[in-house]
Amino acid sequence: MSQGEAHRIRHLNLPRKVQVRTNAQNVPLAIHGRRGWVRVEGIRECWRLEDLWWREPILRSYFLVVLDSGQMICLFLDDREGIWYMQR
Amino acid sequence: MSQAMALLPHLRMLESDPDRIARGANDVLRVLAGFSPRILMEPTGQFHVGMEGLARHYGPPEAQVSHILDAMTAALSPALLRHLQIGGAPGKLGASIAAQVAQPGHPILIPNMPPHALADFLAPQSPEVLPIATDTIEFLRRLGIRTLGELANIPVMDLIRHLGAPGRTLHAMARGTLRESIPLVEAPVPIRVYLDFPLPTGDRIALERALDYLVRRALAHPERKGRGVHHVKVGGSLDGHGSWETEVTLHQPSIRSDRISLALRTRLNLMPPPRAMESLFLEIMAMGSPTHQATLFQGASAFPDGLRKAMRDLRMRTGQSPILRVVDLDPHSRIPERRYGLIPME
Repeated sequence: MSQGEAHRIRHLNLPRKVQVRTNAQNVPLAIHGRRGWVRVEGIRECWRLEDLWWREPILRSYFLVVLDSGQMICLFLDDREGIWYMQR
Repeated sequence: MSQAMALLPHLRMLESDPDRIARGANDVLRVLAGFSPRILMEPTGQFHVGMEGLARHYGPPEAQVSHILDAMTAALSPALLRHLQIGGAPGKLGASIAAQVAQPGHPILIPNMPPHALADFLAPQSPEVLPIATDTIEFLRRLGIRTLGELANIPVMDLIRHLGAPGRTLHAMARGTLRESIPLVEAPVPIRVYLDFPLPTGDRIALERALDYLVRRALAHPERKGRGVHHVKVGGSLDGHGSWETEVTLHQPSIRSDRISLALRTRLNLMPPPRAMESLFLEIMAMGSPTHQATLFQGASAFPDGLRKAMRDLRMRTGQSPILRVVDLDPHSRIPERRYGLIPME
């Protein structure tokens, strides 16, 4: 792929910032959606992602959560920035 | 192994040859697929053929077996035919046991009627013919049960008490009342293509080119019927004796030869054959749903003139391409946003 083509690529599924309330262990308890705060009903899965340590380190703690509304979403905490993101 | 060699100085060790076994299995499958859409291959080397509803085509069970034997004789090597044991019965288990006890060339057929025919056939057989754990067989042996008839005479509740729920299944097996049918399969015969080298080769580039060629041939096979390739096996005969094989599962079914070739080349470099190869095969073991989308959007050049003009106008007006397509960037990346991207269609 040429340089010209490469800069026209738009990445899909980019993370979006989201406000999250957590407990002392940084486990999400509620997230702020369009209609205000929604309680996290349960956590289906959680995993750590550590990558690209040689270039621009990525340190993320992922949580697949089920909200009070029944919706299932994927959140992660960027451990370097301390900011929460939502990602599909 | 060394002990065996010391005890038997003339012992000849033979390497396993999965390619030869797979070729034989494929030949058998191809013959059987011509008779019934219900075929099941067991890892033990047994092939089950469901013949329900096919009496109108092939006649009674004796005639069905005769048809199958004729087709096998025409298609298979004499070496394979020498070991062919055939059994027929109402249900998969009965047929399997009949085949186990049948002599090559002398099929055993258990009729549907009278209803107790299968139980009568099973009664003198050893419990070892059943597809059950060796622990259970040992347990039955300790109880002094030597035949399925003796096992069938034990009250079912006693078996359940000793073995739990499997005791009920075991009882049904021994009585011949467990009669599973063979499931319908969509494509029992995998697509398999071969290439014989004029001279054995271990050259990586030659093997990669051979793989590319086999991928194109496999994709062009009419049996693929537009489906995407999901799971591929490659292998072949090694120089002298033995064989080598490896498997690759694609992230998503694909009809693109470059994508399939890349996955195979990567695997070839990770797990190269230990010696030069005399031949190479490629087998498509699993296919996905037809991937119409990939062929629909091959590029803007395939669009009608009117649509292309509209796209050009919109791009002039907005400064952006109006139609984008999804491309794989790094589909296996652990970082989700790096897996796929959008690029302009034209």
